[in-house]
Formats: sequence, structure tokens, C-alpha cells
Amino acid sequence: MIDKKEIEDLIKKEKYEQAHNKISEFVEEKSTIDNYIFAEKIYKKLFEKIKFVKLKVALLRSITIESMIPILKVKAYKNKINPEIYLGQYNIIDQEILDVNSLLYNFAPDVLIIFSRIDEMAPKLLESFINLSEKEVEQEINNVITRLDDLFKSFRKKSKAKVIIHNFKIPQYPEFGIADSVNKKGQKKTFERLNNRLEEITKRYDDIYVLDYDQLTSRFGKENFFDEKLWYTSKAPVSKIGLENLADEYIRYLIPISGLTKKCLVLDLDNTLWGGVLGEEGVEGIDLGHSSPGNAFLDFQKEILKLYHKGFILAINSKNNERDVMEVFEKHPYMALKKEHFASMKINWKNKAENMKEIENELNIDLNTFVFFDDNPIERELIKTQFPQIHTIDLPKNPHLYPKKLKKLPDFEMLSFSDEDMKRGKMYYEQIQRKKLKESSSSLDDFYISLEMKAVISLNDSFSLPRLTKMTQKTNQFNLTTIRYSNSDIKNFMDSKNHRIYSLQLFDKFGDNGIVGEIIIKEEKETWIIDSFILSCRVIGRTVETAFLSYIIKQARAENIKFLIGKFIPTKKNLPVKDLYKKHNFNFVKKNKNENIWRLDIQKKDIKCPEWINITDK
Amino acid sequence: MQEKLKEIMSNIFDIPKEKINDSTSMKSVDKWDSLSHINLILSIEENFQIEISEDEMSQMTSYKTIKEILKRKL
Repeated sequence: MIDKKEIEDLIKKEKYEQAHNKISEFVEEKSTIDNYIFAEKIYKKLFEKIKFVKLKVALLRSITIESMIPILKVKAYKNKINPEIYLGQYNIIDQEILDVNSLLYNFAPDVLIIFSRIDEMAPKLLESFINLSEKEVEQEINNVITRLDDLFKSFRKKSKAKVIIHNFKIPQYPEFGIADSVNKKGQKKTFERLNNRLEEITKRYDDIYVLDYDQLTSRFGKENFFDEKLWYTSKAPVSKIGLENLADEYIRYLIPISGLTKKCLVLDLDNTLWGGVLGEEGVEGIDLGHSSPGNAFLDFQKEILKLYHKGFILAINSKNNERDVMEVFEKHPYMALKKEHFASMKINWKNKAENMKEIENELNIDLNTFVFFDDNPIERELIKTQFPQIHTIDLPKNPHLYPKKLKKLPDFEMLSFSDEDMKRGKMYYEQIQRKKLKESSSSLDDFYISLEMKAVISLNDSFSLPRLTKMTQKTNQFNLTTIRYSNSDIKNFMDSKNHRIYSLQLFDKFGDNGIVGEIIIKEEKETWIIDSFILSCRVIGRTVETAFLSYIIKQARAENIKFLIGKFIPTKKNLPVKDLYKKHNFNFVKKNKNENIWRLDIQKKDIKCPEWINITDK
Repeated sequence: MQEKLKEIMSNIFDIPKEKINDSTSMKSVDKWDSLSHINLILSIEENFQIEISEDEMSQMTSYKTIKEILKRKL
């Protein structure tokens, strides 16, 4: 049992990250409302000390839900998010969204959550469903959808905030009872249709997401989610356990919205990926297979493999003999995870903190994007104290619960998965192989040649729209102007007559790196202006930028363009590309405020494509 | 039990534990409104593992009455 004094002491000793973790453990141990309120206050003492991502969250609702706010805040603080919350007045949703001068717009949210009840939106679907004709049912659905569509339209005119809207809970006791499914206008079918229509209309807008409230309530049981007493006395229908699970679900959205999705899962081996100690039991002796508890370990491995396929990076940090482990990878028939799924493996007898540091260096990603799974509480404690920024998971004692523990984790939530994202796990593995090759190549040119690079360049490729948007939004280092664009901006450029977007996909002997280069051109008379020039950091230092520019010049000449203008806007992060245009023989023209303008006379000067990169058009 | 109750009330209404006594009531505490009352009821139910009826809920408007009701139920 953690007591409050222990937390206060850590703060006094200025061990803020550890205090942060302890507060989380404190509420998880006893998650009563008063403890949440207490934790909320203590967390606030850490605001100036460790970094939290600030986020303005508006919640419009047709129920009393005030009690969830401290729960939501504490769960957000736990994940290093500091939400400022605006709670709309009870049952005032439409007015807030339609009125330009409402408190909602005054608040200027980053995220808007809409939680409305069907008994407000279409009471007939509950109260008089039995008496409605099929046509009337359809009419009710249409009314709800039109009303919501109008709200989305109106909101999008005024705000770019992400929107999370609850869908509608299917009644757990349908009006026709067990005959519901036989009935032509079954109530379950009606609600499913309503929810499907809701999903369809949200797709017409950018950044509107449906929170599957029906599924959420079923996960814990609709009856447990509902508190009759609080409903009838206070219009607060969601039970305490419901409020916690709802807050957890919101956190699943707030993590990726705040850019806090974890990237890498670091795993122990003995009693984590298989049962038993390999050094004692040998390859044949470990528990992994089709009978308990080996089947739970196998399922756990399968869950981990799914993360790999969604693009997350896997690593091993284990005290073992490396040779023994390789034997398991090679010989054990039930290893769902293979050697090539791990971008980094530290299998030795060093202490795990040291290994963790090496994994960080090898992968070149921040420790705060790591999640660590280890069955041994002592190892966990070591990592918790040495690297409190890593999310160390307290594994349940019983391995049967490992797969569920991983599935429930919000750390790997993303708002959407692009094809690019899904390849990431593989790319990191290949990246490490490249690094090893670089270390073994004698000269840099030899290294470039040995990579066997092939660049495929596309013009206005609308299939890659999300990736191209994301590159403008997320890339900081190799980004000459750091102008952030939205999906619709990028689409407009592609459709426009005086803009075009070139994208570069890079292949090499280790595989497909995906789309790693983007150039946005603004066309003027006899001149092309490079509005944006972005390269993903995973291909920096491979002369791809030179190849890309040489291609642009070739295209420009074919259209009788005389000059290429390059711009550089310095930021804290893009200094490495400060001299990019200079290095490529552009002449400095002038400085407009903080914008440096460079020009290349392409009728007179050329940029040669490096011989080791082979360029093709798509 | 009284200590625990004071601690709960102190957290929820943001008042020092020492200042809570029999005269502490919904009328005398600023932050004690119908909404924070829900938090109080939920916290009492969870901490003492009891169920509070609607009648009790509407009577529990001062430290004194809460204490009396809890004594009866525990």
C-alpha cells in the first residue's frame, strides 16, 4: 500500500518523474473518487517540473457527468497530458455548436467530445418503437443523421478541432424481447443502422471520429455501466465503474492526439515470452505451445506480433546466454516471434538499465516512447527508478492475463494506420542492418553503392495524400520551410494549376523505405518555387536530396522553366539543412524577414544525380 | 471511521480536515453543491463498501447526519 507521505517525500527530494509514477500507482491501488480528487491536486505540483502536453478538451453532453472530470484529468496526467477541460452546460449541444459566439468557440478547443443520448435525439426509438411503422423508424434515423451532419458542417466552418462523437448504445432489452431479431424493424437492427450511418457521415469530414459507446458499454456489461439511483436523482446515468472506463476510452484518443503514442515495446524473455527459465529448463523444457500455461505465452507472442505488423518496434532486453536464445528462435516450433521481428536484441548478463541505454542508441528513438514488459518486479523497479520516463508495465502474476494486459494498453493507440505506419517495425529492423553494413564498408561511396538504392518519384499521387500531409506536419529536421499543411491543403495543391507535389519512394537492398521525400512546387512564370522540401530523417545522409533535386531540374527544363527558387526558414530543429541550397550551387538572393531565398539558373547550371541512386517515374 | 470520513470530505470539498466538525454542512461549505454531492456519495459508498439509498442521500447534507447514518449502517 502506497501512502500519501511517500509521494510527498519524493516531491521534496525533487524526484519528480518517480513521484509521477507513484501517484499513478496510488490511484490504481484504490480508485475511489476522493482519491482521484486528491491525486489531481498532487499531480498539479509537478506541472512546472516535468513536461506535460497541454490540450484543450471541450465536452458537450446531455447527461450529468461532472464526477468523471477528476477521473479523466488524473488518467490524462498519468499519461503526461495536461488537459484544460471545458464542460458545456447540461444538454446544450446544438446551441453551443451553431452559435458563433458560444462559450465553446470562445474556449477554442483542440478536441471536442460529443456525448448525446438517443432519448434526447430520437426519443421515439425508445419510447414508442413498438408503434412506429418501418417508414417512421427510417424517418427517425434520418432526422438524427441530418441533425448531426448539420452540426459537423457548422463546427468545421469555425474550428479545426478533432471531434470525438459517441455512437448510440443499443438497448440491452429490445422492445420485442426475444422476437427482436425476427421482427422486420428490429430495434437492434435499427440502432446498428443508425450507428453505421453515423460512421458514414463522419467520413466526409476531416478528423471526426466515432467512439463506439455501444461496444464500450458491452465490454463491461451494459447493466454495470448504468446507475439507476444516480440517473433518477441526478440525471447521471453512468456508474462509477462506467465513468472510469469511459475516461480510459477518452485517453485512448487523447494519447495519439497529443502525439504520445509509444513506438517501441521492449521485452524480457524468461517468464515473459515463454514460461520457465531457459538456462535451467533448456529449449525443450520451456513452456510454450498448446497447453496451459504455454498457450497463454503463445497468445501473448501473437499479440506482440500484431503490434509489429501495425508498425511498432520490438526489442529484447534479457539476462540470458545469447546462444541459448538463438537456439529457441531457430528450433522451437511454437515461437510466433522470429529473430527478424526484433530491431534490437540485448541478450547478455549486463544490468538491464545499461542494455536499455544501448537499445535507445541503436534505435535512435527517445526513451519516453518505450514500453517495457518484464515479469520480474526487481528488474521493473530498476528501470522505473533509472528511467522513469519509460512506461514500465506491472505485469499480472498470472501469465494467463498477459495477452489481455497488452490488448487493453492505450499506449499503442493511433487515430488511423497508414500503409507507411504498418511497415515501420520492418523498416527499423532493416535500418539496423544498414547501419551494420555502413560500419563494415570501407568508404562512404562503397556504402552508398552497396545499398543499391532506387528512387521512384510520383507527381500528385493522391493515394499518398495522408502520408504527404503527415510529412509536412511531423518532419522537423530535414524540412526547409516547416510549413504545416492539412489534408485539404495538400489535396488543393494537387488539384491546383499552379502547384504540384512530387513524392519520392526509396527502395534499397534491405527493402522498401516508403515515401521519404516530398517537394511542393509553386509555379510562376519561367520559375518554380520550392515551397516545401522535406526528407524523412531515416534517409538523411544518403544523398537522396541531391537525386531528388536533379530530378526536379530535369522536369522543370522539360517545361521550359528558367529558374528554381529555394527557400530556407530556420527553426530550432532544421539547422542541419541550413546550407542545403548553397551546397547545390544555388545563389543567395536575399533575406525576407527570416526567410532566406536562393536561386539556381537551371539553363546554365545542373545538379547531377549521384550514380548510386537509380531514379524512375511512377 | 470519523477520520476516514473527514479525509474524504477534505479531499472533495477542498477544506482542511481540522476544520470539519458537526456544524460543517452543505450550507456552510462553498464547494458542496448538488454535483459534488454525487462525488461525496460515491466516495462514501466505495470507501465504506455500503450502498446509500435515495432517502439517505438527501439526508446526508452535514457532517453530523452523515456520521449518524454511517454509524447505523456499519
